[in-house]
This record gives sequence, structure tokens and C-alpha cells, in this order.
Amino acid sequence: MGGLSRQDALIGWFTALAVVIHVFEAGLPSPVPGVKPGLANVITLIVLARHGLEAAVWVGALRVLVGSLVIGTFLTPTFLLSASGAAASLAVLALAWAWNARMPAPLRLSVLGLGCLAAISHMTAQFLVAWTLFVPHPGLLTLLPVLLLTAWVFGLCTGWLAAAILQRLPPLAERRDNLAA
Amino acid sequence: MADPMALRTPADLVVAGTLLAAIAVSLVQIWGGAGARATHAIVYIGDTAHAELPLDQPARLSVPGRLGNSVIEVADGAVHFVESPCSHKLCLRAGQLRHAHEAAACVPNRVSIALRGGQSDYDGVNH
Repeated sequence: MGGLSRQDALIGWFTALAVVIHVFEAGLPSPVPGVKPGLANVITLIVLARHGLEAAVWVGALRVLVGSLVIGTFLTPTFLLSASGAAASLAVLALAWAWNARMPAPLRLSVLGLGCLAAISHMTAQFLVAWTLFVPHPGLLTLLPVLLLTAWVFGLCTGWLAAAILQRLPPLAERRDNLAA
Repeated sequence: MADPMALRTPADLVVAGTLLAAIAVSLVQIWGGAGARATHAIVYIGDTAHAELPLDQPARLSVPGRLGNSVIEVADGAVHFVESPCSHKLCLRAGQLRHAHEAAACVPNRVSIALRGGQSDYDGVNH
């Protein structure tokens, strides 16, 4: 374990947490295919806010990979949908992160806005892949507004959850000192 | 670097509002159903086309069938059976037809309506 950095350990812990939520959520019944709360994204948002973009991308990507291995959907169409959604939402989060770094405080996005953006981009990418690869029928478009609206609502929910958890977590610097000591 | 603990910035509201507006636009665009509207109705007696009715012009047509006259009406961009000499009146219950490839038929009277034009909601229809 000597080769493990502190960052690696952090990513591992958070990924494990996200995978558990991901697997739990996969067992929940869904009224419409493609609709789920996306609670695992709360972890991605928390990691993004506390440990930066790189760690968040690692956790987001590893969660989809390991989650699919655990559920048994690795390399199935479900995995393809999940992976494309995760890739799109991480890409949008990266853009928003760059935006936040360059903008004054009132123009920055908190995890609330980030969660909403991530959920919408996840859903959009997922829908585009489903539409182009699996069901190339205009009828599928009818579902799009419903899917986007649920993504919007769940995105705000996950963002709000992430914010609520972030407020209760101990400040970062303090913890780092404790661990170093 | 952004303050990770900041809650609800003005930018959040702008982003969430813009996304919601975009969703509302997609809802209107996709569910408006402009593409699915039929442009005209063809009235059949048996296998032969008897008349063609544009859906944008109100009209009332009496069609001589096997049992008697079926009355068909076009109003508000939709077409429907108004009267029929048949006993079950299933053709009347088919209601207002306005989408491409919808159809209503009075089988006892051998009169049917088929809608054409516009983008169809169906891949194929077999009679």
C-alpha cells in the first residue's frame, strides 16, 4: 500500500460510497425507463466541492465502471447509457468548474446549480445515445420533455442534498491536520 | 477557486431557470403535435375512394352506404361520423380524428374514413 497517495485513498473511499448508492438505486423500481434519482451523483458533487475536479472525475467514472461490474451490466446497453451520461455530466461539470474559477462570487455556481446542470446533461446524453443507437424512432421524442423535467427536479434535489451534507462536514483543513498528525 | 460551501448563488437561479425554460420550450415543440396533424381525409365506400375532404375547411358530407347514408363532418381540423344507419354506432364512438393515419369505419354500412398527409405517428398501417 506504500504506493498509494492520500488522493488515491480519498478517491477509493468516495468511489466505494458512490458504488453502494449506485447499486442500491439500481434495485429501486422505476416508473419510466431512464428515470432514477441519481443519488450517487451527490457523492460526485461533494467530492467536486471539497477535493476538486480531478478527484470528482475519478470518482464519477470509477463509480459507473465498478457499479456496472457489481450489478452485472458491464458492456451492456445499460452500461453504455450510464457511461455516456456520466461522461457528459462530468464534461459539463468540468466546464462549470472552469467557469467558477474565472468568475466573481455572485456568478459562480454552487452545488445546487452544478447538480441541476449535471443531471440535465446526463439525461440529454443518455437520451441521444438511446435515440441514435437503440430506438431511432421519432416517437421516443415524446418522452424527452418528461425525462428532462424529472432530471431537472432530481438534479436540484441531489444538489440540495450535497449542499446540506457539505455544511455538516468538518472543514477540510482541520481534518487534513488531524490526519497528518 | 469557488467557495464550495456557498449556497444558492444568483447564477444557480439563472441556470436552473434557463434549463426549466428550455424544457418548457421542448415540451411545447414536441407535444404541440404540429407534425402529426393530418391534412385531409379520404372517405371510402367499400374499397373505392368516394371523396377527399381537406381538414382546414368545414364540411358536411352524406355518404350513401349499403344500409343508408352515413353523415361525416369536418370541423376545427378534425373529422368525425355524425350519423350512421348502423346499429352499434361504433363509427360515431371513434370520435374526432385529426392525426395522420388515424381511421374510423362503419363496417355494416361499408363506409370508412382514413386520414392522410403530415407526418404519421405510426410506422405502418395494415388494413
